[in-house]
Parts: sequence; structure tokens; C-alpha cells
Amino acid sequence: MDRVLVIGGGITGIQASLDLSQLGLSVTLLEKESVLGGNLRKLDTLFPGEESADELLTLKRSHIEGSKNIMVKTNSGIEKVESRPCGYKVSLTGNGTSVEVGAVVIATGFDPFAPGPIEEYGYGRLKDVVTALELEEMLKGKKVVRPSDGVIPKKISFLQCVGSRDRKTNRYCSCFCCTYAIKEALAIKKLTPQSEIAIMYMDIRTPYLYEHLYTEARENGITFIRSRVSGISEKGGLLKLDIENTLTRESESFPSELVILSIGGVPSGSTPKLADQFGLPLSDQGFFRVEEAPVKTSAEGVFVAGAAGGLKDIHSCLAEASASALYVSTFLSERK
Amino acid sequence: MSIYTCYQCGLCTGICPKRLVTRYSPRGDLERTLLAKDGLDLWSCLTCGLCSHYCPQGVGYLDFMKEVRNHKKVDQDTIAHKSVFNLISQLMIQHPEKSGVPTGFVGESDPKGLIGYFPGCIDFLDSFLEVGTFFHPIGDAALKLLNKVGVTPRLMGLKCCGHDELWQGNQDAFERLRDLNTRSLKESGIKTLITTCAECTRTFAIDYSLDLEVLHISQFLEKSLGTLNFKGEGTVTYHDPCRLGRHMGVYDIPRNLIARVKGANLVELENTREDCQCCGVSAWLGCCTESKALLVNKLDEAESTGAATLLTTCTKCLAHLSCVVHEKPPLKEFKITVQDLTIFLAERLV
Repeated sequence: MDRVLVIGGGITGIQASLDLSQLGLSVTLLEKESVLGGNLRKLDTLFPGEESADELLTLKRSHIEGSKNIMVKTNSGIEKVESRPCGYKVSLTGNGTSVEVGAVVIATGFDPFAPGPIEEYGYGRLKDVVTALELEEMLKGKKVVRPSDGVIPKKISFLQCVGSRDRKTNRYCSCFCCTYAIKEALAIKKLTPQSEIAIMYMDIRTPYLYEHLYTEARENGITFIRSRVSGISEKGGLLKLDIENTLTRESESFPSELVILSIGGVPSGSTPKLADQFGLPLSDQGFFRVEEAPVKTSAEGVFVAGAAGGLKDIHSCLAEASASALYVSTFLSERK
Repeated sequence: MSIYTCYQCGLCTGICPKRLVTRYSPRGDLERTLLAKDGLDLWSCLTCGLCSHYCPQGVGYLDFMKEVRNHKKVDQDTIAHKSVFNLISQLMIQHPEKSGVPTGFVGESDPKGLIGYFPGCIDFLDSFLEVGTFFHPIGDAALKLLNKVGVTPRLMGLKCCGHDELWQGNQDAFERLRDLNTRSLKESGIKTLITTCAECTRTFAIDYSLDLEVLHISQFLEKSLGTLNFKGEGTVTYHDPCRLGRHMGVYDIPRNLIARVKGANLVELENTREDCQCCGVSAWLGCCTESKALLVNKLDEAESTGAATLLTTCTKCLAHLSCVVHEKPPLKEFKITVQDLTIFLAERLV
């Protein structure tokens, strides 16, 4: 029986493995970390906000454990890839083992954007400027506080498009920052109803089924200020955001006790090496190039699913994971 | 609906009739309110409701305007006719027991009838306005038509409905008038209140909570359409007043009545029904160059239909439009005449 290699044990890789297994194929699932879950491990909930990330992962992991067809290899990377007449021989890092596979699903996801280089936001320098992932961690613990003094903040600002839609960092839109920021703002409002939350945005993009979240946020008194913050300063423990509200054309210094950076993402660090090993081209954005939507690459038997092919929300990742399993299955049966 | 759903798309400002002649921005005022900033332009809005009709987010701009104007003082200089109508309202409030049953109408009425007719401020308009038309005949026409369908209405001695006080932000005055009228209406025992003005209709129907049926006379007459016959030549067009159209959703009824006139031909304005442009003034706020520009636009639009008569169902629209037609020196020569629908129908009754 043909074996399939799934590279990346995030939610996309997990789902692809489960679907491949359901289709009767044997799977080797590679994960560079010691546990499965990838970026999803860092999230409190999936938007629109009802579904717990931990619960989803626990469920999916139990399905993986219950499947005889899936062999999970954590702390594993790829040393070498050799082409074979019917697939690839892939040598793994570490103990020198290798697997012979008929097809490959690349599900390496993305790395969160590190906002340090955008100096005007003061990330790393100003303690009360945190990333959305750090906020997710706080939301998991049901307590959102200022890192500097542990106090629950009243005035909270979200900065949108951090490391997105910016020629100096990444030109593309993450497709998920607006939706998660709104989800997080509503979650904070639920924890601390007296919070005053402002979202500094250029455009609000809540695609697919999430437009209602945007309306809900406005109805819940979350303020939306069309602006891009040009600088953040701190005085007496209070942060001041320099903005121009482009709808009222007024410049102001907007006070905040906690600032959340709605960070986008960049291609996973392993992408260039992996692309080289499989002879795959990259897109302008540095992700794996999808030659034929939704999951086909230019290399025979190699498919890409989820954020490895470009940022997208989890539900889209899951759809691509399932699509990749079907493509692999069809590919292998046609080759016989 | 709440203003919080506003996405700041700006459709409201794009469609606002006042924006055609000023820098007024409904979107801008919503944004300032959402951000708790002051500096709102409270008095430019015509409260015509065109923006809300088109708002993709269902923002209720009319309710928003009512709320932000509440207890705010409008500059008295911007109120037309030296605020005489506010003064009348004040006097009405100061003399609550004066019933002031309207008199001098030709036709039969019944002081104990269960169907009431309130002529509104028509006699006051005749006393204080010189706009080339008389308003009292609206009452005569109403009685003639009601008598024809077998109704001898009770002439209602009510105070002013309070429409203008309400939209000028004088909430206290409005509430006093509303309470006095509500009491009188309750005591009268009438089951149906008929008015000949779109403003009265909207105010009694929406801004009061009355336990009786409130109808514009056109709505009442339409129920007996089969027994009414009219005859008279000519091409007419119809202006949907904001209060009866977008505020109340009454569009077909006046047209059905006009269609009943043998020999008359109704042609529609370019912007008609839900899209009908406001005459240009509301609640006596700002009879100014900008509002006159809108009135002239309206009359131009009416003349371009080829109609000889512009009909309407709002006493105030009639006053403002007639005023511009008869302005001296003339702003522009207009051939069209402006007429109240009730009079138009009564004159053609057979």
C-alpha cells in the first residue's frame, strides 16, 4: 500500500492525515515540535469565538491516536529528498531513518509576524504593547492584564494590519487579523464589560461568514477608528497613539492602557529549504506556489494545503486539507 | 435601529438632498457621535429619511436626529417667520383649557361624532403666511369629501400636533402638547382621527401612542373609493411628502385617488415615491438660500414632467412650494401651480 508523507502537524496536517487515513492510505505525519497542533495551540478560540482551540485539538489528536494508519513523528524534519520512479525517498533528521512515499502533502503553515522591526510600535520596548497571540494566551487564562503592572486595563486599542498590507514588511492581507481582532475585542468585552476598546483599521475585512461579527462588535460599543498609527509613546504608564482619524480628518494622541498588535504571518521558516528539496517554486509572497487551485504544485505527487500556500483562516485550511487528501487519493489510484 | 451598526460607507451623505447645496455630512455626524466628539451640525438635516431608506446597515437617522436634537437650543434666527408658530404653541400650552374648536368650515359636522377631523394649523398659516395660497379651503374640501362618503366628522379642537417642536428639539413643549391632545382625544371618545396634513398624520400615528386609528384623509377616502367620482381635465404630478411617504409608507393611496379623476392624467416626477426629494424645508428650520435652491429644484423637476399642477398631501410642503412659486421678486418664473390633493379632489367631485 502506498504511504503518504504529510509535512507539518498543525491543524491542516492533522486534518489531511485523518482524511487520508479515512481513504485507506497509510500516513507518516512529520512535526518539527514535540507536540502536534502548531499555531492553533496558541489560540484561545476559533472565530467567530464559540469553539475552543484546545478542545478542537484534543479531539483531533484523539482521532490521530485512534487511527492505525497514521504514524506520527514529532521533533522531526527533512534531511534529504530523493526522487523515485514511484514517489520520493525522504530521509528524516535526527536518527537517520527514511520513508518511501507515493505522495506528499505540504502543510507547514506560517510563522506569526514578529513586530519588533516596526520601531514606531515599540514592541519589545514598551511593555504594554503586546501581540494578538500574547492576548490569546491571556484570554485562555480568562484574565487580560497590563504586563507592566498586572492591572486590568480599561482603555484598550487594537492596531490592525501589523506586518500586513505594508510594502516595508509584507504586501499581502492576512485574511484573518480583522476577524480575530474583533473576536478578541468581543471576548475582552465579555470578560470586562466596562472596557473601552478601539480598533484602529484601514479597512475592515471579515470575509466568508463573519460579517455579523463586525456588526456585533459595533453594536457592543467597540469603537472603530479609521487610521494607521504612526507612533506610540509612553508617559506615566499610559500609552499614547499618534493617529489621524481619516474620517473626521482630526489628528490626535489617543490614550491606551494596553495596545494589541494584530499581527499577520510570514511563510514558515522551513519553506525555502523544503521548496529547494522538492524543487518547488515559491509565490511572490514567499509561500509555496499553488499551480492549480486548490492544492496542486508543479511537482508530481506533491500537494500543498493550508497557510503553507498563503495565509488563510482555519476553516479554509481545513477545507484545503480535505481537498489535498482527495487529490492524493486520486493521484495514487490513477498512477496504478 | 441603532447607529452603532454604521460602517461609515457614506451612502447617506452621497444621497442627502442637503448635501447638494451645503457641506452637510450625515456620515460625518454619525462618526462624531460614535467617537463621542462634539461639533455636530444639528440643524441642517431635513429629516426627510432618504438616507435611512437606503442605508445598508439599517441606521435609523430620523430617530438619531430626534435624539441628538432633544433639548438642544436652535438659534432662533434660523427659524422662519420669527418663530411665530413656536409662540402659538407656547400660548396653547399656557392655556390648556382653551379648546379652540375650528369654525367657519362649509359642510356638515357632528360635535358628537366618532370620526374626528383635525384641520391642523391651516388657519394659523392663513393668518401669518403670505405665500400665494389659502389654507382654510383645505378644511372645506375635507368636509365636502367626507360628507360625500357619508361621514359627518367631529371637528377636533386640538392643540398643535407638536411636529415642529419635536423636530426643533423642544422635547418639553412637544410632550406638553402631546399630553394635552392625548387627553382631549381620549375624552372625545372618537375612534378615528382624520387629518389633512402629512405632518399631523405622522406625529399622531408615530410620535403619540394613541388608542385610536390615525389616518390621512387620502387613506380614509380610499376605503370608499367606489362611491367617489371625480371629473376634470389636465395633467398633474404628485409630490410624496417625506412624512406620508418614507415615514409612513403611503405611496399608492394618493395615486389611486388621482386615478379616479376622469380626464385627469397623472405623470410621475423623475424622483418619485421612495426616491422623492424633500421639498427643502422642515419644521421651519432655515428658510434660506439653500432651502430655496432645493425648492426651485423640486419645481423644475415638476415642470419638466409637463404637468400643469403639482399635487401634495402635506400642508407644509404646499406652503413652502407655493411660497417659492409666488416669491416677489420672483426667483424664477414658474408656470406650474401647487395644490393640495384634498382641494384638488373636492373641486372635481361629481
